[in-house]
Amino acid sequence: MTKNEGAPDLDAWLDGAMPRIYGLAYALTGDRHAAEDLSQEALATVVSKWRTVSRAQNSTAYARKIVVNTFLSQKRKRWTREVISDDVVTELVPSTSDHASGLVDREALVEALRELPPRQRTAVTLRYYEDLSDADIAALMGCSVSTVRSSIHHALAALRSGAVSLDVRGVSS
Amino acid sequence: MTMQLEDHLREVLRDAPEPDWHAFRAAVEAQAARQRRGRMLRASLGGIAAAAAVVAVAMSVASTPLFDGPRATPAQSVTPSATGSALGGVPATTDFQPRVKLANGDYRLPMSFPDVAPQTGEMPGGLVRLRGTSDTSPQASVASSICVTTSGAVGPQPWGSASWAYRGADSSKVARPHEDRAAAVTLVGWPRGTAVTGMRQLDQNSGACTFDTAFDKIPWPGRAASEANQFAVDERSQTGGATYVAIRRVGDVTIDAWFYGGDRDTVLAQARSVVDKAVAELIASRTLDAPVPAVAKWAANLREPSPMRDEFILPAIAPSAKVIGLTGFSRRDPQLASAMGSVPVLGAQLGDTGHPGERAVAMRQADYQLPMPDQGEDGGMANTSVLWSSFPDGRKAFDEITADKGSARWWGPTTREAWPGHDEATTFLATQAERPRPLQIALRLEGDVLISVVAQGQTQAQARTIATTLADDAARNLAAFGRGPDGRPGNGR
Repeated sequence: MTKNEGAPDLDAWLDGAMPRIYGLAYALTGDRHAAEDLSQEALATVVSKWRTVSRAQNSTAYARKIVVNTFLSQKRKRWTREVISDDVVTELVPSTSDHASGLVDREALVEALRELPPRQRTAVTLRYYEDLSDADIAALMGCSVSTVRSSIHHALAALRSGAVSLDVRGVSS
Repeated sequence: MTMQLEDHLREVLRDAPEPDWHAFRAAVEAQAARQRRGRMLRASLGGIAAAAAVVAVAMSVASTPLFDGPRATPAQSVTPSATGSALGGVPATTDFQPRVKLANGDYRLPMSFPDVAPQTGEMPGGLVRLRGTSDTSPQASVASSICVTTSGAVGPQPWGSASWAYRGADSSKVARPHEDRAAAVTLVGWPRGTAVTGMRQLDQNSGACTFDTAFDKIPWPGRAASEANQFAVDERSQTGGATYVAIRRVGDVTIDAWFYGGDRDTVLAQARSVVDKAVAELIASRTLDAPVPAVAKWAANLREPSPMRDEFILPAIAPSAKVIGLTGFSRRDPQLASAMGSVPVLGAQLGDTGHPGERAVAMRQADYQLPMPDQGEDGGMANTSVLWSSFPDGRKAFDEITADKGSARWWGPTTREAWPGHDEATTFLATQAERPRPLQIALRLEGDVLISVVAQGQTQAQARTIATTLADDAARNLAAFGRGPDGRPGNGR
């Protein structure tokens, strides 16, 4: 029994897509388990519909869209009123400034990323993880290019502001 | 050295911890197989009264090459008997207790599935039974192959499953869909009295799991479609050929055997033989006579995918927006599983992960909106959230929240008010100052489930009415679901 001629090879695609889609999910969620759930679900959907998907469009782009849509739908609304208290932020300020500065930089930025609204985080991720153009990001997120630019602008401003207030060394605009 | 913020961003975003890729891929393939099988099975089963229509479909396709032409059209069936019937000693239903999610995350299942799958040497075609593939973990049982991949699926949901996989003797790899020869035997348990309904829905290809590739239904000789069925599914892009499935119902358990590859008539005969033998062994085991519930624990490194966990622990109890009686007041569906585990009173608390406190094992959320004429800073909408959370210790969680301790703290000065007709020990009504709109908090503790409502209104009285009405109505809805064997509300059905 042979595979259907003309259909892209599922094995090869999956091998190549797994790290990319998992990496995207991790960049969005910042959590390994959540990223595995998100990416495995998206990849499984593509695999289960391989015949249709592989012939209709870019399979990796399709999986990417599932990841983004699922992430945004899970985060929709409930994020808007979640605020982390000052106590937590204070804990991120290094007690001393003369050691482990690299670690502090990273943790502070990760924490600041986590505080971004989901759509801002998604826009930032698609630009800086996927290196997509604003137009591609807009198409993926279902919004206008100007909205994408605005989201990224506000996100970078927030990250920059957070970095300064947290005394994160080595980060500048 | 000073780095640009963008450089740091790229570095952070691209530094995902490396997963176990072998396990990762296996999980993807297993999940994909479940989705495919769910779609196939939903499309395959027929009702008793549909037998004539099924025969007509089968006669029609018999004269044409397999899979040629458009996608097969599912038979249009007349609603069959709701209870099914005993046939040849096969019980019509099974006296299963409900599946229960325990507070520690494990499940109490209606029973453990006995191993009735063929051993190596008993399987046709020399297929080898894979060691250690018996799916008795909660993950496999919860993520059963039928009707569970989409949370919005209509109709009964299986409570669990167990399956055994087989591969060709000449293959050194784990069975995968693209291999030339592979098979599996699966047992699926349905809530008491619902297997027939599930089969009818599958036959009608209704609900969220739809059949997305060509298939043929093939009546099982001598058996009604509500009791047994067969089908062949076009999976040329996946397997290079077809998948053949035979399935029978025994009370509220279904047993199916599927094979990849081979000659259609020969393989279906083999599948029927495997299923018949498994059915006979299941009946002989007498496990269905008086099913004994069994606790299924999570294996190491396995955990339940979200959000299904929350949706199973907690039913959808958010009241209809109509109960408020305000023009424009609306609910935004779906009622999501919430990730706000540290903020049980959403909209009135600040998450404070720096402090320990009782954490919910599951949480769901519904949001409401009310257009406001004054076009305030939030775009002219007053927001209301209803969260319902299941805690290991609901009493402890309630006391922490009302005392402003634990995993979250009040946003601003919070003043408790009297709530006539409600027990102060289990309910809490309050206002909160320093907010842009009048805001009202209403909490109700029902066993270990906390219902919290945070409502905005144009006036304090309006916010109070919204909060108290939704809290009381949500509690009534929760009570309607009954209590499970572990006493937790909402698990009764």
